[in-house]
Amino acid sequence: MNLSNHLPIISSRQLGLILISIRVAVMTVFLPTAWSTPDPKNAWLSAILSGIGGMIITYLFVVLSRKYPDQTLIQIFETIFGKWLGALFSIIYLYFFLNIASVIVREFAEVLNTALMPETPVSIFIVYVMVAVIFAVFRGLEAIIRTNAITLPISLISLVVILCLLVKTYHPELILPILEDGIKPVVRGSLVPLSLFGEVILLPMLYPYVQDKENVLRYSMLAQIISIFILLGLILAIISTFGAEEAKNLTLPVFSLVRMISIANFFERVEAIMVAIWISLLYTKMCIYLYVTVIGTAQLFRLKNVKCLIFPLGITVLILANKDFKNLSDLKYYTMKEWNPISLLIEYIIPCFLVVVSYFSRRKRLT
Amino acid sequence: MFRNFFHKKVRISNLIESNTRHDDSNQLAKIPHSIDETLAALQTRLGESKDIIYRCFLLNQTNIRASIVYIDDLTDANMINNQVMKTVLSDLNDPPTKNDDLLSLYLFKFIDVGDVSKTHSISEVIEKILQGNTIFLIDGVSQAICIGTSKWETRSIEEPTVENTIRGPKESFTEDLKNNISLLRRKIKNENLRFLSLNIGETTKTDICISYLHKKADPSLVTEVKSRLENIDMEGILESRYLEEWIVDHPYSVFPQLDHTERPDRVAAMLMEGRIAIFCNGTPWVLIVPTIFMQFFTSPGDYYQNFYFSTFIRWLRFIASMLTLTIPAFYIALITMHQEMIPTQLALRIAGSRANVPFPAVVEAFLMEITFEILREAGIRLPKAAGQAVSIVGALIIGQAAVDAGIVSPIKIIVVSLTGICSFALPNYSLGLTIRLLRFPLMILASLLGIPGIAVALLALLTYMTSIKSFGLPYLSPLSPLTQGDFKDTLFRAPLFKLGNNKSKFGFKPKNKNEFDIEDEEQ
Repeated sequence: MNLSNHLPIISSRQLGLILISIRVAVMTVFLPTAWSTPDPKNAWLSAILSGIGGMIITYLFVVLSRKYPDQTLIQIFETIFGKWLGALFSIIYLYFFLNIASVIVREFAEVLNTALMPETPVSIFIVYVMVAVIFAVFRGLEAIIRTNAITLPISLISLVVILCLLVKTYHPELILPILEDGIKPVVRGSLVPLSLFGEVILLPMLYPYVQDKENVLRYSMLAQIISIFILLGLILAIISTFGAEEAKNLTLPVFSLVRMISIANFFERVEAIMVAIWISLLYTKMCIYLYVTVIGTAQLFRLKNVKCLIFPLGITVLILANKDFKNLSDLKYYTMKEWNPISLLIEYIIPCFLVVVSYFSRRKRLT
Repeated sequence: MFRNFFHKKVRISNLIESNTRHDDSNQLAKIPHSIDETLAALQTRLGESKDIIYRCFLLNQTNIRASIVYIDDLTDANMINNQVMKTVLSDLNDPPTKNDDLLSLYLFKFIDVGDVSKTHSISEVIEKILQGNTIFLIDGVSQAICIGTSKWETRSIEEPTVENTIRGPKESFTEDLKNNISLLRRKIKNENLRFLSLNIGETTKTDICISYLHKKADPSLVTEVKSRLENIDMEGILESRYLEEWIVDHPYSVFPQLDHTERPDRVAAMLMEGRIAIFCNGTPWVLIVPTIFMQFFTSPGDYYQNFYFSTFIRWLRFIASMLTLTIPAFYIALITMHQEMIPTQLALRIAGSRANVPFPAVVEAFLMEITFEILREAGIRLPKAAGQAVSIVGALIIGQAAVDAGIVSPIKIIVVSLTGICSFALPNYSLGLTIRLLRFPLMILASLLGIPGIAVALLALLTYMTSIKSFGLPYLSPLSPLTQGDFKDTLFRAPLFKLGNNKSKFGFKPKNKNEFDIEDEEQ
């Protein structure tokens, strides 16, 4: 099968699609900026700002991967820092991936519990979706990525259609005035979406499997830009519908937005579509993170049989996902506040450091 | 008791073993010099069958003894009388003598039949006899001449019974391989049309034919198909499905991985796209390799009518297949868990009609869906005349009475009949079977977890479908991986002048040998 017999082959376009998918997944659930920024009116400026940050880090990751085209991030660590220090970094990153996977699983369960089926316990959703995710990871990277290539366009089109259907509820004046309190809150507000855009950290993990490596930069940048536009669209729609203060207090802002749809007393209650979008996007994100953890662990310990890791790591994710969160808001606080500095460190600061070190180490080798 | 049984078994297996050993020695046996010995050998091998005819005579008024052997019902009596017998019995001006090279003389000079060959081995002689050839033996010659005289009754070419179209050719394959090949040859008059012949099945020795267009079909694909077919180890091949289960990439998969058709025009179109067709003697169903999922939504009729309408019809088929798969599950999910998603008026109406139903929606749904499946199965088994009665009893009486009795709600009847009708809208029967089967687990999941249950199951199904391959070709191409050019003839049916020669590009490019790996484990 894909995992054991031959290396999976993906195209840079598919890589771009998965990069969109992992970011839009969280945006449609929590919509990071509106909640975290002290100045929700200007959340869209924060989005642009963090988007630019995301573009820079995307570029850096592509540069890094181009230097080591046949190595994943885990192998790059070993090449640059040697066996033991590299292993330390690798373990940090693998735990990071594992944690993201488990948080997303939890998010999936909490969202369904809150929005759709409040009487069904969260753990049932967790177990159910993990069965599907472990199955998908067994089917291999190509399967996950191709599935995403089918589901993501459908989700994005539905999302855009939903935003267009709501045109009559928008009140653009609610966004004004711009930069009421100066630039400082905007910068502070951009930190949370920055960690979201930093999830492009998957790129160096998947880069070795990309067939047309020359297009990676183009497609990953395009993915970044599309993600920024989606985030912008969602923020503007929500703030101009609910107003800044109310938007800040919504648990599931996009879901509340979708509930506003009512056309001709017939086309209403389309939450089901929103739930379908969530499920498909979050499913992809869980799958890809579990997959990356699995291959990363296999590379760290130099295992030939990758498949044997899927089940134990899948169970680990399942257990981690049962962590003690009270409800969706608690989870939101965790991902947006507590986890934010750690993810910024892992997604931005260490990689920048890595790029610098790799730059010098190469020079040293040349001289 | 068990010991006896064991002994018996051992004895039988010993017997079989000794038999096969015997056969092996016979396999190599040469035709003996003397005609008496040859005939005796043939009689021991073929046994006492009354349809095998041994005709002994003296060759052309000489003293040389000769004989022909054939099976009465498989040969053309006219041909044997008028051509073979006349030749060997007629009075020649210059009769051959024992010293001549009799074999070559008859092979090249006297016997006026097109398909003639010679052989050394007894086994081959027997094989030829069973295929309907006439064997010509001459005393003192340790070779035999095989004369192609086979002819048997076949069904005439009729209209396709399953793959009907409004417009287009009204012929279909029959059970006879030769006839089927001739139907194809008549469609494609090209020197590149090739037929590779194989014999599969230890007992049945069924004729299999791999057909492809040279220079169009990928040579590595042809070798792959051939080697997979040669690896089949089975007693008998009675239908092309027997082959299908042996050669598909994922034998445990629930999805149909090979297309089958009874229409020569469809086979011709597929060959021109670079695909390969596998004919199997004894069945009108021809297999097509490789097959993608989207192919099951196309019908030859699509190319014989307006392309706007064909595209529309294809989309209807997609929708119908989705409906068959999901409608019963969504019914259960909406009724039991997500009542708030149904528009108020409709929700009230449904609640009203379900007020008297004593079962939960799952039980109700399973009851009706299984009843419907039973009715459908009964409809196939029953004689044609009685079939009508079943449909009346099934549809009118059971449906109406069940609603009147308050066992099921009228909405459920609508759902069931919609599911049933949608499943018939698919041009391919085997995909319909898969979808019909998959809707049951989906219904269970819907009853347990509602819409999330359905959605995650569908996603896992999609992931599975993207991961499987048919002879190196991803099952879900051109959707994923995306090959834009191929949308012209899958999601849409572009006008034929646009399809043009592009039709041949169906994305088949095996990158390495691994792509052909047959998967051992399946979930």
